[in-house]
Amino acid sequence: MKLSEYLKNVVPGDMILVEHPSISLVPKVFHVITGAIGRDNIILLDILDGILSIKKELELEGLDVSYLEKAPRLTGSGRSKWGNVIGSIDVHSDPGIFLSKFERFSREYYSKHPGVNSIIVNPERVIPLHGMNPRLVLSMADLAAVFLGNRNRSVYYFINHETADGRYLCLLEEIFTRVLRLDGEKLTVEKSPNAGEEGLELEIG
Amino acid sequence: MPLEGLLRSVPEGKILVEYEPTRHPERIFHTMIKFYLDSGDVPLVVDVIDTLHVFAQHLAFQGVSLPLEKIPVIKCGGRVDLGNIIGKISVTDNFEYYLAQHARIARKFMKTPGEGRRVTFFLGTGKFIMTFQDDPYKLENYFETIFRGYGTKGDNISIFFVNRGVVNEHAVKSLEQDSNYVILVGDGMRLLKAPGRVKDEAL
Repeated sequence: MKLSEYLKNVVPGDMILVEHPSISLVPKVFHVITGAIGRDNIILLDILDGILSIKKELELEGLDVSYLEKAPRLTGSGRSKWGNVIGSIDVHSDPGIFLSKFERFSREYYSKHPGVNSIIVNPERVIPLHGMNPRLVLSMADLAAVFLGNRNRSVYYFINHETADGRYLCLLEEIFTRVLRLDGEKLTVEKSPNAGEEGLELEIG
Repeated sequence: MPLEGLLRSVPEGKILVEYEPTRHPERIFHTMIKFYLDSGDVPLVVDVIDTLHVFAQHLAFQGVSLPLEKIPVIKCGGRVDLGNIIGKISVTDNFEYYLAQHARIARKFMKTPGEGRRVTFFLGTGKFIMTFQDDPYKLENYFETIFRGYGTKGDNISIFFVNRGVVNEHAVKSLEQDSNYVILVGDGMRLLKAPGRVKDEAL
Protein backbone atom coordinates (compact mmCIF):
# COMPACT_ATOMS: atom_id res chain seq x y z
CA MET A 1 0.00 0.00 0.00
CA LYS A 2 1.16 3.54 -0.71
CA LEU A 3 1.64 5.94 2.20
CA SER A 4 -0.73 8.42 0.55
CA GLU A 5 -3.40 5.70 0.38
CA TYR A 6 -2.85 4.69 4.00
CA LEU A 7 -3.37 8.29 5.08
CA LYS A 8 -6.92 8.18 3.71
CA ASN A 9 -7.78 6.13 6.84
CA VAL A 10 -6.75 8.99 9.12
CA VAL A 11 -9.71 10.67 10.84
CA PRO A 12 -9.87 14.07 12.57
CA GLY A 13 -8.31 13.76 16.01
CA ASP A 14 -5.79 11.14 14.93
CA MET A 15 -2.20 11.59 16.10
CA ILE A 16 0.48 10.18 13.82
CA LEU A 17 4.04 9.63 15.01
CA VAL A 18 6.72 9.23 12.35
CA GLU A 19 9.93 7.78 13.77
CA HIS A 20 13.06 8.05 11.64
CA PRO A 21 16.83 7.54 11.99
CA SER A 22 19.41 10.28 11.29
CA ILE A 23 20.21 8.95 7.81
CA SER A 24 16.78 8.67 6.30
CA LEU A 25 14.27 9.59 3.65
CA VAL A 26 12.32 11.71 6.12
CA PRO A 27 12.13 14.73 3.74
CA LYS A 28 10.44 12.53 1.14
CA VAL A 29 8.02 11.13 3.74
CA PHE A 30 7.29 14.67 4.91
CA HIS A 31 6.58 15.76 1.32
CA VAL A 32 4.28 12.80 0.62
CA ILE A 33 2.38 13.37 3.86
CA THR A 34 1.80 17.08 3.22
CA GLY A 35 0.75 16.24 -0.35
CA ALA A 36 -1.78 13.68 0.87
CA ILE A 37 -3.32 15.75 3.67
CA GLY A 38 -3.52 19.03 1.76
CA ARG A 39 -0.64 21.49 1.61
CA ASP A 40 -2.92 24.50 2.06
CA ASN A 41 -4.29 23.18 5.33
CA ILE A 42 -1.24 22.76 7.54
CA ILE A 43 0.40 24.63 10.38
CA LEU A 44 4.11 24.13 10.97
CA LEU A 45 5.21 24.00 14.61
CA ASP A 46 8.89 24.27 13.88
CA ILE A 47 11.06 23.46 16.88
CA LEU A 48 14.68 24.68 16.72
CA ASP A 49 14.62 24.98 12.91
CA GLY A 50 13.97 21.28 12.41
CA ILE A 51 12.10 21.88 9.14
CA LEU A 52 15.00 23.83 7.62
CA SER A 53 17.02 20.77 6.60
CA ILE A 54 13.91 19.00 5.30
CA LYS A 55 13.08 22.02 3.14
CA LYS A 56 16.66 22.30 1.86
CA GLU A 57 16.80 18.63 0.93
CA LEU A 58 13.51 18.82 -0.95
CA GLU A 59 14.84 21.88 -2.84
CA LEU A 60 18.03 20.00 -3.71
CA GLU A 61 15.86 17.22 -5.11
CA GLY A 62 14.29 19.83 -7.35
CA LEU A 63 10.86 19.71 -5.73
CA ASP A 64 8.52 22.66 -5.39
CA VAL A 65 8.44 23.68 -1.73
CA SER A 66 6.69 27.02 -2.13
CA TYR A 67 3.89 25.61 0.05
CA LEU A 68 6.30 25.61 2.99
CA GLU A 69 6.96 29.31 2.48
CA LYS A 70 3.23 30.02 2.49
CA ALA A 71 2.17 27.79 5.39
CA PRO A 72 1.72 29.47 8.78
CA ARG A 73 4.79 28.70 10.87
CA LEU A 74 5.13 28.96 14.64
CA THR A 75 8.76 28.78 15.65
CA GLY A 76 10.03 27.25 18.87
CA SER A 77 13.27 29.24 19.12
CA GLY A 78 15.74 28.59 16.25
CA ARG A 79 17.52 31.28 14.21
CA SER A 80 16.07 31.12 10.69
CA LYS A 81 13.51 33.65 9.49
CA TRP A 82 12.04 31.98 6.41
CA GLY A 83 8.38 31.50 5.62
CA ASN A 84 5.19 32.86 7.07
CA VAL A 85 6.10 33.19 10.74
CA ILE A 86 2.96 33.83 12.80
CA GLY A 87 4.53 33.59 16.23
CA SER A 88 7.50 32.50 18.22
CA ILE A 89 7.97 30.75 21.54
CA ASP A 90 11.28 30.62 23.40
CA VAL A 91 11.95 26.96 24.27
CA HIS A 92 15.02 27.97 26.29
CA SER A 93 12.77 29.68 28.83
CA ASP A 94 11.19 28.06 31.87
CA PRO A 95 9.36 24.88 30.73
CA GLY A 96 6.24 25.76 32.72
CA ILE A 97 6.00 28.98 30.69
CA PHE A 98 6.82 27.78 27.19
CA LEU A 99 4.65 24.66 27.48
CA SER A 100 1.62 26.67 28.55
CA LYS A 101 2.27 29.11 25.68
CA PHE A 102 2.32 26.19 23.23
CA GLU A 103 -0.87 24.85 24.72
CA ARG A 104 -2.69 28.19 24.58
CA PHE A 105 -1.53 28.85 21.02
CA SER A 106 -2.56 25.38 19.83
CA ARG A 107 -5.95 25.49 21.53
CA GLU A 108 -6.80 28.87 19.97
CA TYR A 109 -5.45 27.97 16.55
CA TYR A 110 -7.30 24.66 16.36
CA SER A 111 -10.60 26.18 17.42
CA LYS A 112 -10.27 28.91 14.75
CA HIS A 113 -9.13 26.47 12.04
CA PRO A 114 -11.09 23.26 12.59
CA GLY A 115 -9.84 20.39 10.44
CA VAL A 116 -6.26 21.70 10.27
CA ASN A 117 -3.25 19.37 10.25
CA SER A 118 -0.41 20.39 12.52
CA ILE A 119 3.14 19.26 11.86
CA ILE A 120 5.73 19.17 14.61
CA VAL A 121 9.32 18.37 13.76
CA ASN A 122 11.89 17.18 16.29
CA PRO A 123 10.36 18.38 19.58
CA GLU A 124 12.74 15.92 21.31
CA ARG A 125 15.56 18.46 20.85
CA VAL A 126 14.07 20.59 23.62
CA ILE A 127 14.79 17.94 26.27
CA PRO A 128 18.62 18.22 26.32
CA LEU A 129 18.25 22.01 26.59
CA HIS A 130 16.75 21.38 30.00
CA GLY A 131 19.20 18.76 31.24
CA MET A 132 17.09 15.69 30.31
CA ASN A 133 14.80 16.54 33.22
CA PRO A 134 12.29 13.67 33.65
CA ARG A 135 9.57 16.08 34.79
CA LEU A 136 9.93 18.01 31.52
CA VAL A 137 9.72 14.72 29.62
CA LEU A 138 6.46 13.93 31.43
CA SER A 139 5.05 17.44 30.84
CA MET A 140 5.91 17.40 27.13
CA ALA A 141 4.31 13.99 26.71
CA ASP A 142 1.26 15.08 28.69
CA LEU A 143 0.87 18.14 26.45
CA ALA A 144 0.44 15.71 23.55
CA ALA A 145 -1.89 13.50 25.62
CA VAL A 146 -4.19 16.37 26.61
CA PHE A 147 -4.94 17.04 22.91
CA LEU A 148 -5.65 13.37 22.14
CA GLY A 149 -9.25 13.14 21.03
CA ASN A 150 -9.47 16.81 20.01
CA ARG A 151 -11.33 16.34 16.72
CA ASN A 152 -10.54 19.86 15.53
CA ARG A 153 -7.22 18.74 14.16
CA SER A 154 -4.90 15.88 13.30
CA VAL A 155 -1.25 16.04 14.26
CA TYR A 156 1.94 14.64 12.76
CA TYR A 157 5.09 14.41 14.88
CA PHE A 158 8.49 13.64 13.35
CA ILE A 159 10.96 12.21 15.89
CA ASN A 160 14.50 10.97 15.40
CA HIS A 161 14.47 7.67 17.28
CA GLU A 162 18.25 7.53 17.34
CA THR A 163 18.75 10.83 19.16
CA ALA A 164 15.48 11.19 21.10
CA ASP A 165 15.26 10.49 24.82
CA GLY A 166 13.96 6.92 24.96
CA ARG A 167 11.45 7.67 27.71
CA TYR A 168 9.91 10.52 25.70
CA LEU A 169 9.71 8.36 22.57
CA CYS A 170 8.02 5.51 24.47
CA LEU A 171 5.51 7.84 26.13
CA LEU A 172 4.59 9.28 22.73
CA GLU A 173 4.24 5.78 21.29
CA GLU A 174 1.72 5.03 24.03
CA ILE A 175 -0.23 8.26 23.44
CA PHE A 176 -0.35 8.41 19.62
CA THR A 177 -3.05 6.59 17.67
CA ARG A 178 -0.70 5.67 14.82
CA VAL A 179 3.06 5.03 14.76
CA LEU A 180 5.02 4.78 11.51
CA ARG A 181 8.67 3.74 11.56
CA LEU A 182 11.08 4.62 8.80
CA ASP A 183 14.18 2.48 8.37
CA GLY A 184 16.23 2.81 5.20
CA GLU A 185 13.64 2.70 2.43
CA LYS A 186 11.20 0.73 4.57
CA LEU A 187 8.23 2.46 6.20
CA THR A 188 6.26 0.21 8.55
CA VAL A 189 2.97 0.74 10.39
CA GLU A 190 3.92 -0.12 13.99
CA LYS A 191 0.66 0.92 15.61
CA SER A 192 -2.83 1.62 14.38
CA PRO A 193 -6.36 1.58 15.86
CA ASN A 194 -7.15 -1.13 13.26
CA ALA A 195 -5.20 -4.26 14.11
CA GLY A 196 -5.25 -5.31 10.45
CA GLU A 197 -3.02 -2.37 9.50
CA GLU A 198 -0.25 -3.17 11.97
CA GLY A 199 2.89 -4.55 10.37
CA LEU A 200 1.92 -3.19 6.94
CA GLU A 201 4.82 -1.99 4.85
CA LEU A 202 4.09 1.25 3.05
CA GLU A 203 5.53 2.49 -0.18
CA ILE A 204 6.79 6.07 0.15
CA GLY A 205 4.57 7.60 -2.48
CA MET B 1 -5.69 -19.78 28.89
CA PRO B 2 -8.20 -17.00 28.17
CA LEU B 3 -7.69 -13.81 30.18
CA GLU B 4 -11.10 -14.13 31.86
CA GLY B 5 -10.12 -17.64 33.00
CA LEU B 6 -6.99 -16.25 34.61
CA LEU B 7 -8.92 -13.41 36.31
CA ARG B 8 -11.45 -15.92 37.66
CA SER B 9 -8.58 -17.88 39.21
CA VAL B 10 -7.05 -14.86 41.00
CA PRO B 11 -8.50 -14.57 44.53
CA GLU B 12 -6.26 -11.69 45.62
CA GLY B 13 -2.76 -10.34 45.15
CA LYS B 14 -0.80 -8.12 42.83
CA ILE B 15 -0.95 -8.28 39.04
CA LEU B 16 1.66 -6.52 36.91
CA VAL B 17 0.68 -5.68 33.33
CA GLU B 18 3.76 -4.69 31.34
CA TYR B 19 3.24 -3.37 27.84
CA GLU B 20 5.41 -2.49 24.90
CA PRO B 21 4.85 1.21 24.14
CA THR B 22 3.24 0.72 20.71
CA ARG B 23 0.91 -2.10 21.83
CA HIS B 24 -2.66 -1.91 23.16
CA PRO B 25 -2.88 -2.04 26.97
CA GLU B 26 -6.25 -0.27 26.74
CA ARG B 27 -7.84 -3.48 25.45
CA ILE B 28 -6.78 -5.60 28.45
CA PHE B 29 -7.76 -2.73 30.78
CA HIS B 30 -11.24 -2.70 29.22
CA THR B 31 -11.57 -6.49 29.56
CA MET B 32 -10.47 -6.36 33.20
CA ILE B 33 -12.78 -3.47 34.18
CA LYS B 34 -15.71 -5.24 32.54
CA PHE B 35 -14.83 -8.53 34.22
CA TYR B 36 -14.68 -7.06 37.72
CA LEU B 37 -17.81 -4.91 37.31
CA ASP B 38 -19.73 -7.92 35.99
CA SER B 39 -18.49 -10.01 38.94
CA GLY B 40 -19.83 -7.45 41.42
CA ASP B 41 -16.37 -6.32 42.48
CA VAL B 42 -15.48 -2.69 43.10
CA PRO B 43 -12.78 -1.15 40.91
CA LEU B 44 -10.81 1.98 41.84
CA VAL B 45 -8.43 3.66 39.40
CA VAL B 46 -5.32 5.59 40.39
CA ASP B 47 -4.72 7.62 37.23
CA VAL B 48 -1.16 8.89 36.85
CA ILE B 49 -0.83 11.86 34.45
CA ASP B 50 -3.87 11.26 32.23
CA THR B 51 -3.26 7.60 31.39
CA LEU B 52 -6.98 6.86 31.80
CA HIS B 53 -7.74 9.56 29.22
CA VAL B 54 -5.23 8.02 26.78
CA PHE B 55 -6.74 4.54 27.27
CA ALA B 56 -10.31 5.86 26.92
CA GLN B 57 -9.45 7.77 23.73
CA HIS B 58 -7.71 4.76 22.15
CA LEU B 59 -10.78 2.67 22.93
CA ALA B 60 -13.00 5.37 21.42
CA PHE B 61 -10.96 5.27 18.19
CA GLN B 62 -11.64 1.52 18.15
CA GLY B 63 -15.36 2.11 18.74
CA VAL B 64 -15.36 0.87 22.36
CA SER B 65 -16.52 2.87 25.37
CA LEU B 66 -15.61 2.51 29.06
CA PRO B 67 -18.32 2.64 31.78
CA LEU B 68 -16.52 5.67 33.24
CA GLU B 69 -19.37 6.81 35.47
CA LYS B 70 -19.04 3.59 37.44
CA ILE B 71 -15.33 4.00 38.11
CA PRO B 72 -14.05 5.96 41.12
CA VAL B 73 -10.77 7.67 40.23
CA ILE B 74 -7.91 9.16 42.22
CA LYS B 75 -6.09 11.62 39.94
CA CYS B 76 -2.36 11.57 40.42
CA GLY B 77 -1.03 14.55 38.44
CA GLY B 78 -2.35 15.22 34.94
CA ARG B 79 -5.12 17.51 33.80
CA VAL B 80 -7.91 15.57 32.10
CA ASP B 81 -10.59 14.65 34.65
CA LEU B 82 -12.31 11.42 33.72
CA GLY B 83 -14.46 9.00 35.68
CA ASN B 84 -15.87 9.70 39.14
CA ILE B 85 -13.01 11.72 40.68
CA ILE B 86 -12.85 11.07 44.43
CA GLY B 87 -9.58 12.88 45.10
CA LYS B 88 -6.32 14.21 43.74
CA ILE B 89 -2.67 13.59 44.65
CA SER B 90 0.42 15.06 43.03
CA VAL B 91 3.19 12.96 41.50
CA THR B 92 5.79 13.02 44.24
CA ASP B 93 8.86 11.27 45.55
CA ASN B 94 7.74 12.01 49.11
CA PHE B 95 6.27 8.55 49.61
CA GLU B 96 4.99 9.06 53.16
CA TYR B 97 3.01 12.07 51.95
CA TYR B 98 1.69 10.07 49.01
CA LEU B 99 0.58 7.23 51.29
CA ALA B 100 -1.16 9.58 53.70
CA GLN B 101 -3.04 11.28 50.84
CA HIS B 102 -3.95 7.97 49.26
CA ALA B 103 -5.23 6.58 52.57
CA ARG B 104 -7.25 9.74 53.26
CA ILE B 105 -8.98 9.58 49.86
CA ALA B 106 -9.39 5.81 49.65
CA ARG B 107 -10.97 5.70 53.13
CA LYS B 108 -14.22 6.97 51.57
CA PHE B 109 -13.99 3.98 49.39
CA MET B 110 -13.45 1.31 52.04
CA LYS B 111 -15.19 -1.97 51.46
CA THR B 112 -18.42 -2.52 53.32
CA PRO B 113 -19.37 -6.06 54.33
CA GLY B 114 -21.22 -7.93 51.61
CA GLU B 115 -19.62 -5.94 48.84
CA GLY B 116 -17.41 -7.57 46.23
CA ARG B 117 -13.65 -7.39 46.21
CA ARG B 118 -11.87 -4.11 45.94
CA VAL B 119 -9.68 -3.90 42.86
CA THR B 120 -7.19 -1.05 42.53
CA PHE B 121 -5.90 -0.25 39.05
CA PHE B 122 -2.73 1.80 39.06
CA LEU B 123 -2.42 3.29 35.54
CA GLY B 124 0.85 4.95 34.52
CA THR B 125 3.15 3.23 37.03
CA GLY B 126 6.10 3.99 34.75
CA LYS B 127 5.37 7.71 34.77
CA PHE B 128 5.21 7.70 38.57
CA ILE B 129 8.53 5.86 38.89
CA MET B 130 10.29 7.77 36.11
CA THR B 131 10.92 10.90 38.17
CA PHE B 132 13.08 9.11 40.77
CA GLN B 133 14.17 5.84 39.14
CA ASP B 134 17.76 6.94 38.61
CA ASP B 135 18.21 7.48 42.35
CA PRO B 136 18.79 3.94 43.75
CA TYR B 137 17.84 4.94 47.30
CA LYS B 138 14.53 6.48 46.24
CA LEU B 139 13.70 3.61 43.93
CA GLU B 140 14.26 1.02 46.66
CA ASN B 141 12.39 3.20 49.12
CA TYR B 142 9.42 3.34 46.69
CA PHE B 143 9.19 -0.45 46.67
CA GLU B 144 9.45 -0.57 50.44
CA THR B 145 7.01 2.22 51.19
CA ILE B 146 4.44 2.01 48.42
CA PHE B 147 4.62 -0.92 46.06
CA ARG B 148 4.83 -3.84 48.49
CA GLY B 149 2.16 -2.27 50.67
CA TYR B 150 -0.55 -2.46 48.00
CA GLY B 151 -2.77 -5.43 48.61
CA THR B 152 -2.08 -5.53 52.33
CA LYS B 153 -4.37 -2.75 53.50
CA GLY B 154 -7.82 -3.67 52.37
CA ASP B 155 -7.13 -3.88 48.65
CA ASN B 156 -7.99 -7.36 47.58
CA ILE B 157 -6.41 -7.09 44.17
CA SER B 158 -4.06 -4.43 42.82
CA ILE B 159 -3.20 -4.23 39.15
CA PHE B 160 -0.25 -2.15 37.97
CA PHE B 161 0.05 -1.05 34.35
CA VAL B 162 3.58 -0.14 33.28
CA ASN B 163 4.93 1.07 29.94
CA ARG B 164 8.17 -0.92 29.66
CA GLY B 165 9.84 1.78 27.61
CA VAL B 166 9.86 4.44 30.32
CA VAL B 167 11.28 2.55 33.30
CA ASN B 168 14.80 1.19 33.60
CA GLU B 169 15.62 -2.51 33.76
CA HIS B 170 16.18 -2.50 37.51
CA ALA B 171 12.74 -1.01 38.11
CA VAL B 172 11.04 -3.54 35.79
CA LYS B 173 12.78 -6.45 37.50
CA SER B 174 11.81 -5.15 40.95
CA LEU B 175 8.18 -4.75 39.86
CA GLU B 176 8.21 -8.30 38.50
CA GLN B 177 9.71 -9.80 41.64
CA ASP B 178 7.12 -8.24 43.93
CA SER B 179 4.12 -9.11 41.75
CA ASN B 180 2.23 -12.39 42.11
CA TYR B 181 1.13 -12.40 38.48
CA VAL B 182 2.97 -10.86 35.53
CA ILE B 183 1.33 -10.31 32.14
CA LEU B 184 3.23 -8.99 29.13
CA VAL B 185 1.32 -7.20 26.38
CA GLY B 186 3.37 -7.31 23.19
CA ASP B 187 2.23 -8.79 19.88
CA GLY B 188 -0.33 -10.85 21.76
CA MET B 189 -0.59 -11.33 25.50
CA ARG B 190 1.51 -13.67 27.66
CA LEU B 191 1.33 -14.76 31.28
CA LEU B 192 4.96 -14.73 32.48
CA LYS B 193 4.39 -15.64 36.10
CA ALA B 194 1.67 -16.93 38.42
CA PRO B 195 1.91 -18.50 41.88
CA GLY B 196 3.76 -21.81 41.46
CA ARG B 197 4.60 -21.32 37.81
CA VAL B 198 7.18 -19.46 35.76
CA LYS B 199 6.63 -21.08 32.38
CA ASP B 200 5.14 -18.44 30.12
CA GLU B 201 1.87 -19.08 28.39
CA ALA B 202 -0.24 -17.25 25.79
CA LEU B 203 -3.37 -15.55 27.12
